[in-house]
Amino acid sequence: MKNVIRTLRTERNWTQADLALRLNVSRNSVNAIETGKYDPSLPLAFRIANIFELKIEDVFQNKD
Amino acid sequence: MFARRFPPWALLIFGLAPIVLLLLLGDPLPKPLFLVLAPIASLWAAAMTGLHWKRLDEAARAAHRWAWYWGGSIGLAGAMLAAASMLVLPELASTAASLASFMASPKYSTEQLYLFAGVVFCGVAQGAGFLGAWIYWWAAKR
Repeated sequence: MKNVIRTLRTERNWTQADLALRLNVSRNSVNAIETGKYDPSLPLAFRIANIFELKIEDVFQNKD
Repeated sequence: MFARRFPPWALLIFGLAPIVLLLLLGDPLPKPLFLVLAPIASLWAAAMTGLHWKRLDEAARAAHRWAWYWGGSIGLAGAMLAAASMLVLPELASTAASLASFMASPKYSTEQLYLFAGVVFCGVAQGAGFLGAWIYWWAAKR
């Protein structure tokens, strides 16, 4: 799964630590999700989309 | 709450410290005292490990699961390979026996010592495999 979290985050001038604090996860987890190393669960994906005030499909896309 | 004051890794250290201490100091302790302390240390370790797991977020839990499956399995396979090699390479077996001799005690027979050393070796191999896989999981895409 691809995502645009890094772009959205940098547009808002947030660090990974800022986003981690908002999501109540570790900074390492934010990094793992951003880089596609880890696909978040559906509840966490919704929380991420909500934080950016976007629909989930605007943040996460299928790889193909 | 107690657990919230410490990072998750600290809970793991608090949990495992009494077991490590018992393993290191266990031999001089009277057997009845050891038999009382060992289950208490095990329960403490289980409780702290549970708290540690609860404090982890989902990516950290995924890293643990992946590292335990792959690292633990590969580590154990390595230990089995090493054990099998001892059957055909007697010099390797005598090196392993001399390495295990630091755990020797008049209380235990040679067979008991070798059994204990084998269990410790498998545990260490699995732990090393887990650690390597865990580091790989987090470092792979940085």
